[in-house]
Amino acid sequence: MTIVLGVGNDFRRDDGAGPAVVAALRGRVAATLAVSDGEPARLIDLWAGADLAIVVDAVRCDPPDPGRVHELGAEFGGGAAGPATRPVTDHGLGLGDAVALGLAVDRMPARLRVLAIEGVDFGFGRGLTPRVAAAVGGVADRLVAALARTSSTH
Amino acid sequence: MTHRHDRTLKVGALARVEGEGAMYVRVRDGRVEKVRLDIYEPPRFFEAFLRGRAHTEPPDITARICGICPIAYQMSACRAIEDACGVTVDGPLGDLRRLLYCGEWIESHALHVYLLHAPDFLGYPGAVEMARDQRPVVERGLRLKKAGNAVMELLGGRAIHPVNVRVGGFHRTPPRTELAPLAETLRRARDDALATVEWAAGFEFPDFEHAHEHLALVADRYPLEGGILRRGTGRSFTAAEFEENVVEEQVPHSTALHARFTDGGTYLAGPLARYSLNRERLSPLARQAADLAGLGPVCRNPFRAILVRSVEIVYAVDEALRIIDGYEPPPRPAVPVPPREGTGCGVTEAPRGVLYHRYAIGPDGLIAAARIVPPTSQNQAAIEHDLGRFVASRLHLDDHALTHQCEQAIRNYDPCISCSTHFLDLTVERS
Repeated sequence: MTIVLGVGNDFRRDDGAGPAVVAALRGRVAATLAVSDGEPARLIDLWAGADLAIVVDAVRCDPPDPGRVHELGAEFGGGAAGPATRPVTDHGLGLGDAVALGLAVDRMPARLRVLAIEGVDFGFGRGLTPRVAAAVGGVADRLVAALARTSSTH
Repeated sequence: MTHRHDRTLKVGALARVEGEGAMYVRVRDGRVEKVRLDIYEPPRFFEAFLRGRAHTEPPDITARICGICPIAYQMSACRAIEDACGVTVDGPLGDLRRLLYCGEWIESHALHVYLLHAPDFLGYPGAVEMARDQRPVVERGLRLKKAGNAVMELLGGRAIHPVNVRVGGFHRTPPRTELAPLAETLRRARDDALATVEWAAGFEFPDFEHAHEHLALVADRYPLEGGILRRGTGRSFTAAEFEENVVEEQVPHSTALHARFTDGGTYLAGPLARYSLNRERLSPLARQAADLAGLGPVCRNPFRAILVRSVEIVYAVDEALRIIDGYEPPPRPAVPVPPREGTGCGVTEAPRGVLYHRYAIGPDGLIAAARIVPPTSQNQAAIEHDLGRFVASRLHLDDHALTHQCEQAIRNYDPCISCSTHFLDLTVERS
């Protein structure tokens, strides 16, 4: 099973990048789609047991380069150690906490890919800044192509 | 060990989606001179932008106030609007609301007990470190949380900011067959909940008693989605009389208003108040669990709130099963609630305590005024006061130990997820 998880709050401007990618994937991929606020216990419930979990989240970088996409990956078969990375997200508890907790209780997907889209405006309100909105379209197109290849190999 | 007579503990915070807080303690001449729990959460203007909206909209809009207890906001909003419109929602629809609220209590309390509060008692910096050492325990907490989620997803449509609640009832109500798998999940959760009480009862609790009056709803059953407000002194008042009895005041260091009784001092809402005013209304199983945990008829030790929350998980699971067992689908998913000019008030018991909503509906059927008093702001003054007394009795501790214990003391009240995680940085100013 493949799941794509959009993490973020679409009422906090660019923090809505993850949910926006998931919205752009609806009807275009066979994977399970979900949106999460990033709370670790909910995240690990969603991705536990998946063959592949793709998490799309917004990150804040300094200096910012809005729309730049960072990609991380890890495999968790055989008790492998998880990534030590901890994206600077706009959530109280980070994705790093979810990975650490998931590893501690053995509730990880076999493979985890994180696509982190750099945002610049995390203030109140709806709507992405232009470069982040463009990146969302690009990430969605990449995932459609990648997931089509994945499903055709099975 | 430091025994300095003059010191300042300043604790800053990281920006969080759900709020920002800090702690400031000033000790001069060996006495606690000032204690502040700074809440500088940015103004969110919910009461202002509810004005001009349709009377059907507050449940969906106010659910966005909190990612942890959206049901509480929806339930208080529905009750206030229905009160204004002269409609009572009871019978199977009322039961379903109570069932949904049980789901939120289970999820919220399990999150706090296992992932936020227990590490304090067991000497871990956080839940992840605890999970590495005590995996079965944390897995039990996650199962409980998931059971609460399952209730919210089935009845609310989704666990975060549910979409199935509406003024008058629900958009859709489930047939009995959909509740059967939920009952299976909850029966397993009941064992986990009882084990939680037994586990938490083994913690060591500092000797400390708060000195505030309690405030909670009381009802025929343990209070969730309604009832009458009762003070620890026994005096009662209705939701409509809330603002005659409670006044909110601005303080310079907090964007959260401090609340107090109009005729007196600070009060405490939440699990300790609820339990102390409603112990006899617990189900027999939950009461038995409270006995096993050593909880007497009244609990005034904030550190033991983890025990009360654990007992309330037992109650919420037990109550959810009672409702499911007796469930007969309502003839329609919602009763009509036509708008009517007037004012209505609603109070329910959020996991963190009393949550008050008031709405005025204008002649055009739109919201003319709104007032929301959340439990966390009601408890701010009490938390500060307790923190001052707590620090005063522990001035022999060094800054590191004292700060850690202060953080734990704040977490006792489960103020919100942002405030309850390990977010504090310490700066010591030496005089």
